[in-house]
Amino acid sequence: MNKEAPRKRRFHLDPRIKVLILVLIATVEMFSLNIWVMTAIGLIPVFLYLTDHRVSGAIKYSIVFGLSVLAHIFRADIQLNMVLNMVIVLLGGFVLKLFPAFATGEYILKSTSVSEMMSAFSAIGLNRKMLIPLSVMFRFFPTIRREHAAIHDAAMMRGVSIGRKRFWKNPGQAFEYRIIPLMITVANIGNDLSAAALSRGLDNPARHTTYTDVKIGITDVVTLICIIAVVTAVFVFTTLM
Amino acid sequence: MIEFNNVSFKYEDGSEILSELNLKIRDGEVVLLCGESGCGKSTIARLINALIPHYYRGELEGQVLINGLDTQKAQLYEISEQVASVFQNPKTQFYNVDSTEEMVFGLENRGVPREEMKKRLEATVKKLGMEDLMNRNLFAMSGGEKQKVACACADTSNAPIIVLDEPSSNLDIYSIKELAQIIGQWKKEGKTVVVAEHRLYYMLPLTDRVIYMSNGKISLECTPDELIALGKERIARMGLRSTDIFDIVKEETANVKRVNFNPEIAKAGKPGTEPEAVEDGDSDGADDNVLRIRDFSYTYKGDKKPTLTIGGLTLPKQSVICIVGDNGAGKSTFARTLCGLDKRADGILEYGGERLKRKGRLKKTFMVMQDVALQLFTDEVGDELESCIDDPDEGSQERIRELLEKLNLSDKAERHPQSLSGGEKQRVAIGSAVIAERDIIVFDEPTSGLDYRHMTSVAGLVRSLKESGKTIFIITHDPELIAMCCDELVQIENGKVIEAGRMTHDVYDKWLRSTTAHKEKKKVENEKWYAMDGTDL
Repeated sequence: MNKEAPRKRRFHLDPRIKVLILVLIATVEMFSLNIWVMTAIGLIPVFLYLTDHRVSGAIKYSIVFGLSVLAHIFRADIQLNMVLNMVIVLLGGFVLKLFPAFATGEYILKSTSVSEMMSAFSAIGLNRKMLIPLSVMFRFFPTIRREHAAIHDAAMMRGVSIGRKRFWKNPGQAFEYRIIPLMITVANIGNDLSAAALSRGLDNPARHTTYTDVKIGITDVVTLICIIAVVTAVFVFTTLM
Repeated sequence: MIEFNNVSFKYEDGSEILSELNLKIRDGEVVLLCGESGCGKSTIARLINALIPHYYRGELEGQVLINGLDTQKAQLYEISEQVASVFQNPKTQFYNVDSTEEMVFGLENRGVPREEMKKRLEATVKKLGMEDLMNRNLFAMSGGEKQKVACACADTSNAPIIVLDEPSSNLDIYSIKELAQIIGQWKKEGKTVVVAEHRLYYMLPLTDRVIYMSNGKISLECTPDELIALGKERIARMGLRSTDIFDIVKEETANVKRVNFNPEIAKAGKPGTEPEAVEDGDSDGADDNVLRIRDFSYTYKGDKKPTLTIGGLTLPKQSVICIVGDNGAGKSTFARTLCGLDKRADGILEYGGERLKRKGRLKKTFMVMQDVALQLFTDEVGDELESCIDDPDEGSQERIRELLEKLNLSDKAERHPQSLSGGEKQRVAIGSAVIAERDIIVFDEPTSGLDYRHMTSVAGLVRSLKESGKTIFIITHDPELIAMCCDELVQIENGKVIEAGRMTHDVYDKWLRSTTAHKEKKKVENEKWYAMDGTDL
């Protein structure tokens, strides 16, 4: 372990670049361009997942996205009954348009540490009043996931999980069963967390420093240029043809 | 110097928790605050770190001075430079996800320059032996490791006063030992340390002064030796936990002949199991008095080798089986496998002639979770129990009423379960297991953070469940609970059962000694590894 760079990762993007990529994806998706541009955009998260060593995530995402691309291409060739057809087209469109952005968002959350995010955004001059809620949000995703897993266990023991008879007797109530304990514990955790953070001077008005150094490096620039180049190339190529 | 001058405090709900308290703590003193739950010791801790009055609201009278700063007038961040805190629940005191970032969080807030941060971090890491805990995901750490990180946070802050509020509640015995070493280190450096704690045994050797509180007042101030001299019975009557965790198993159980139910362990030649006491385990006859665990295994996603492997384990039915082992040894995985909660887990439980696979176990078992609030779903205690009955009939209301009476909850039938106290919530959860007619009840750390009186009442409940025919598994680190109600002790280390058998005085003592020896060895190996790596951070 090197003192200067405690985080040993071969490929590591700056949080600002990650967010920029997310914005790029979301913007391109807004204009309904042709399917090839959409596919090119859809491949960005696969690339990001792989750089983060999340092969299974990349595969799962590729399958879902690939299926919706196929559904889009062959949507005129196959005649199914109307309702089913509508469901498939809608679902496919949904995946096609929203999944790349969702997946990138998820990648950002998983691959970025709180302090890195704070450093990066205070470097571009984001106000601390906005940074604190943002970082708390970051901190809370894993918490909620964990608590939710525990509640899931409890519900399984009580026989109110999906696939059990009791669940379908009153699905609305079963949903409530899950949400109430989750809300209560998350609120409690939030309380304790604030107390702990305040006892360590979170309210100090002095200019806060950051331990983690963030720099936009050559990797960041190259990645961004490559992504833009590929998407533009696909766009130009397919629209001019 | 900490000074309390005529301090009274009422929480917003009106409960008076401190009255007219006067207390002086000198620089460099190590003070242990003890007493039953609700005696006011945590309130004192919160007054010292100024979370009262700045975060927890209430009516505060009198004056608290921290090195001359009046906590009511000073800002919270000013106090935070004087006082560092370690809290009870390792789950809820971290702001970051990464351990290193957490350790410098307090410094970042204060605006300490990066170079200085690095220097302090390095010093702390060296002093507390934290090398293996750097740059790690806090969510993937065991309770002991998290609490060590919390101590490191307190250490990097360089605050002269450190307040710890029940820091050992969720820790195994080895982690408690490490915690004691850290506190010892602070004492050597001349820091003022105030610890509010139920567990006395590890603190007493370090303590300069014991303050025993009851009903918001200091009712005894003495040295640790004077406290021990009061005698075990008196201390128990005061609602305090044991001053020594060895030699607390009653002698009558020690005379019971030890029968080893587990041929596999004996055959493997593990030390301490007498082969002559082996009872042959492969008699497939209808022995209704045992439950057998066969081929339990659990493999984490992406791993090739299983983390948990238990080939065969035979245990007596209708008994209290305590599962011990260090944090991260596989106890919780075992419990989840036993309850059929995890699809990735394999294995069969033979119970009274039935071979139960995962789904079968799901209907036969019930886990009372550590965070029991997560398993209370409805808005009334009565409904909570009713929702556990598969096919309600006319008799079920009657049964619920009887059960509530037994659990001492009759007057709470219409309360919202989440508004109950911790012990009451636990009893509601136990009630749902009983009403759903589950035969095997698993407790996950039922007594962490409980005082003597509450622990005794949990032990009493466990015993009465056993008498009503249930088989109880308890996952625990609590030596006193084990001494009080355990019949069978099963020790799990690295996902394997290394010791299982009837609980006796000897078995108990041996477990206590081995549980620390085990980790000690691993730590030496780790240190060697780091030495080879040639790193100092």
